Amino acid sequence: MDIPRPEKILVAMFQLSNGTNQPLEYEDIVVRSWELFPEEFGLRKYVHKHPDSSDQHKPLYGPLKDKGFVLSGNKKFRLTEKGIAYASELVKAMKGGKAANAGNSDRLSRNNEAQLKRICETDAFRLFSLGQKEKILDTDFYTYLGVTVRTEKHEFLGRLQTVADAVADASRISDNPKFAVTQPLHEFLCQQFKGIIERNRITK
Amino acid sequence: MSKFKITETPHVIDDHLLNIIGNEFKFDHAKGLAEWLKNSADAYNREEVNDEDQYIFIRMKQKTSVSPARFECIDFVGMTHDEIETAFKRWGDPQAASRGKSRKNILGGHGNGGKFYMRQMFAESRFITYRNGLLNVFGFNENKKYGFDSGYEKKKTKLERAIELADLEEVLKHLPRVLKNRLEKGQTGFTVVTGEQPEKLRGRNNVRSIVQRLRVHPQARRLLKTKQVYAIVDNQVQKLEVESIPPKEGFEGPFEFDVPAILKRGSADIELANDKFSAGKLILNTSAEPFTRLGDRASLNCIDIRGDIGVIGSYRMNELGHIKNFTETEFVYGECSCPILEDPKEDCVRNDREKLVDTDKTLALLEWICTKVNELADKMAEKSTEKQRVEELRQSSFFNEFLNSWMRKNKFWEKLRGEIFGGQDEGNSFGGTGGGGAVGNTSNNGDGGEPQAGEDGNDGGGAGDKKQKGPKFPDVRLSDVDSDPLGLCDTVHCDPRHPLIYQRAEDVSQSIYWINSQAPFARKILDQYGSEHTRWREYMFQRHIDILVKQSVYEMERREPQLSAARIDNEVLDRVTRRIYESAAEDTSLGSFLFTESLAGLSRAEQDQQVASIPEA
Repeated sequence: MDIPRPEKILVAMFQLSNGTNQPLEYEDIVVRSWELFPEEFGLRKYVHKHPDSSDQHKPLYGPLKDKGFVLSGNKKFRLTEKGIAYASELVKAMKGGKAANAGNSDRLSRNNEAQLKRICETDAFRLFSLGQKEKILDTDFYTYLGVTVRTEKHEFLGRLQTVADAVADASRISDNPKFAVTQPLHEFLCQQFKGIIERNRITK
Repeated sequence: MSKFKITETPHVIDDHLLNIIGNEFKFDHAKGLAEWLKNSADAYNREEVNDEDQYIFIRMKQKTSVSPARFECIDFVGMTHDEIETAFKRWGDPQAASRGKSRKNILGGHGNGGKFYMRQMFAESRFITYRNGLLNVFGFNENKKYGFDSGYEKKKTKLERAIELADLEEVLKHLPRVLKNRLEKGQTGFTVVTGEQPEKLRGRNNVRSIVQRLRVHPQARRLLKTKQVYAIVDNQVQKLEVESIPPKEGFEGPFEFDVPAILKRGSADIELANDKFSAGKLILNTSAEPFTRLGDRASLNCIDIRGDIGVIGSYRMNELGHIKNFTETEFVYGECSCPILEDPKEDCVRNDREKLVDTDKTLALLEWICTKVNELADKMAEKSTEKQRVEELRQSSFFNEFLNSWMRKNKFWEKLRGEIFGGQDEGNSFGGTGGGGAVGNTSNNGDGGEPQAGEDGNDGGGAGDKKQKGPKFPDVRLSDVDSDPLGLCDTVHCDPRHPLIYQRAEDVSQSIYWINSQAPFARKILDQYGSEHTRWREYMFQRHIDILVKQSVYEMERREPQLSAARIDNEVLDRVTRRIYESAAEDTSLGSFLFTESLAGLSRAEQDQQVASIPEA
């Protein structure tokens, strides 16, 4: 089964970390990706002899962070809970030849459930449930996402995606009445603080 | 049915009843002149004269050695003998003002105000009226009995003579040519209402004060807006216009509220709108100055109840009910319409149109207006307190400046970074070697957050020894007081729920931090001890330390993706706070800053001296 390039990096990270969120060195990721997928990550002309270390930057700092699968710091990378769950599905799918169905299960994933429970404890949720949405502050929005104003933009976008996925899953699957509030809350917050979101989307 | 059948006969009423009713009017001259103005306006309106052609003159002459003081109201319509007989002479006739025509645009109500003013407030009064070449003089004598002048009843008179008798030569100079032509052609006439020897004209209740109060009288304001009303005081002419009232800053308004269709009063539901009468509206405005400071304009500090045509009642703020914030309500004025009050079945409108008749409807409406005035006044009070607090805090901005300087001069950031993270460079940013390695060559540019190096992955691997710029030296400011260095707004307003240290997204890259002066504990210190107190200085000092700790935590995370509690505890909390407090204990300038009460009330020069006394590290 063929999977896209960023997902291949995830699989490499999953194997390297033994399915945990331990920090990984960039060089290790480069080598393991190449070992697993030489055609994809080999140096041109030396595909099976040497890895190409320039191929993994974009997916790691871009889509994988933006989707909330990976966190980075000081040139080290680690999988998030969401990243681990997704990579695990990918590995299973690769073994069994079935497409990964993370996000399409009929049960809330443990990670999403944890996200939703966390959201239900936030001030943003409380104020929204009390009909006092006008009192929600920018800092409440950051807390809702599990970030701060200082959070790096790709990580911010990754958290936004992770929370959005959890909320979407809740409205699709869960019959928990508290979780049902998260969908309109999420829509309200994204509208109310679209300036902050846009800033993170466009700021260099 | 009774077995008796009464034969109807006209009432016989003693003139004393007029005294009783007249006394109820409690006239002051501004109110009385407003009644005369309304009568003149009604005369024009009955003739369907456009507002811009309705010229009305209030002529006032002070007492001289040869003549008594005299107030007059002049219009250029005139009355016939028949009108005097059928309308003017009748007391209490609601049809008097309309003369049987449509009441649309008719301001007069029960047909009493102007007449009672003539009767009650002057030693003698009369009007000279000229129409269709006939002159009539009708008035009240010194016995307050009315009647025609024996020589001038339906007296055929030439215009020139009528003008001379009414002393109108000077007034005519201020009339537009077209109106003079109509007068000369007999297409219109004139009426001069005169009151001689006005009562209560003494002390501060002088002619000029009366004119000023007339300008703001609720019954006159709308007329002054639309008609051509002039005052002639001792031969000086001025057009009377409604003064515009600049609004209170931050409360420019107008604040509009729909009157609810149903209001609760006790257990009863009071209907204030129905299919026949639409819902009313309350409009509140503010004044930049409290009305009590505006002398004669103080009477504007009220809510006028507006009827279909004019004001049908007017209430000073303290007449509305329980006012919570008297100071703030002194800035408020407004008007309320509520058409159902004019439903003839309800009978809510009084004879003098000064106050409404007390009914469940009117009382419920007034109570509701009172709550709305209170709500607005509360908001104004809140803002005013806030402004006062900010002003107070502004005095203490210097303390923050001092701490910024102290931190900067002691190079805390640089030293701590060097110690904790093994940085190399000093200056205005954190030092340290860049991790380089695989990630790219974009520097952090001192944004104090996550490393941005090579974030888009396009930059290829770095050598690993590139120096990264650290976060800029923190610029700590007081929320709601200090100016925004980025110029995005005047100052950053924090909510009490914001963290003690607040940053906007834009502040991060510039290392700007805001101490939340609205945080509950900060407020408590300020309220209990004031902004000059050492407790407040210590509070600010603590927040500067928070910022240092915060920045250190982020710096640590930037270098180590997995932070441990032990590392934060040992390296950041213990080390950072210990270093700062050790320095604080050693440094006499900071010691004096934190412990000396006498820093309160320093002049700007003394404050600068204090900052300059901080020794360079």
